[in-house]
Amino acid sequence: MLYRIIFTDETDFIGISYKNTRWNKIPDKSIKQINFFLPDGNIFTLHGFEEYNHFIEATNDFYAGKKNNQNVGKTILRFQYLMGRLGDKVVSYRITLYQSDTSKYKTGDITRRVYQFGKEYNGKPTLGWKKGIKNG
Amino acid sequence: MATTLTVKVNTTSNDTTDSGNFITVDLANDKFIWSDGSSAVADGQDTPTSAELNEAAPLSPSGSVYEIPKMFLLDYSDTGQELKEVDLAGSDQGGGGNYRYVLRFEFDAATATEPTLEAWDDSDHDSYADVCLGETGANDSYVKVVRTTAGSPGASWTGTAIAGGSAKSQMNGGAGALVGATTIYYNIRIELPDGSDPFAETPVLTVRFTWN
Repeated sequence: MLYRIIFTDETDFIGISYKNTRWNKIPDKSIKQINFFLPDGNIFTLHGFEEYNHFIEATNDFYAGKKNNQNVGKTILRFQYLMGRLGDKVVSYRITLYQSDTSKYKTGDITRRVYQFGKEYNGKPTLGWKKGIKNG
Repeated sequence: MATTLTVKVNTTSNDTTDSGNFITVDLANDKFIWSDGSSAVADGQDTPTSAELNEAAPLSPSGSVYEIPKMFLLDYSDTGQELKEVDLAGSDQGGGGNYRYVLRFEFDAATATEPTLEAWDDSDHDSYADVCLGETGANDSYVKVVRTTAGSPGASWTGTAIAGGSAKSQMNGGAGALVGATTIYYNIRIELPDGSDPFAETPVLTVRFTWN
């Protein structure tokens, strides 16, 4: 399981996997809380935000690589992003999914950052926001 | 479901979107090669040896910049005739010109953010120290790309230098995430600066994208 959403009406919704997140199939109801199931087995909970977003960052490499060409040709899942918006601020939690020998971050590491809404990913907006409930 | 990407390359001289012009790049096994070309490094030839590639390599330019005139797809699966020239690649300073439909990126669904086209030393994505990537100056990269989805680039197009995470190309022209299945086109070239150090390198080109 990738995540479990609990809505304000106490019903729930399940995301399955990184490649089948079902995020765009979430019912149009206010989210009370989301529990994300992390690669290391821990559970990470977000609640109290006006909106939520979630997406996976992946890369495809090509033209061969001299050092780590075993990864060329594969779709590598790099990061999972969990975001919550309050007003014009977005709190972003970036979870590392891929770790190389020289990676600064290890698999499962969480990086928390706060951005202006509309500049939450490399200074650019993101799509996929779902409504929550402030102080829910 | 996850958004998936298919990369194709036009190995004909037809600057159109017809699917028959394009070969799907086997990202695990195929390679791109830039060269001056020779009898052994030519369209329809088999996989060149290192010696053959060296013999066909451009010389470091002296007194002016130099666009490597030929780009090839090394089509791993086409045994005995693996090399396929990418006729339309580059500007008129090399072997190309005002051509739009060279590299084709097919996204089968929407993305959460705008995809980017990048270049790195390898799949670790933590350095761009290769000579051809500008070593430490990302904007000095020899690899130049131009997004041609919306129009032709002009015969003498210069393009955007790509290297690392700061010098990259926004694949939707800065318009943000893809809202559905989308096809994007690029042209690409490698330009050696005056006095370039010699190199034989194999960086990776990277498409970075997301899905909800």
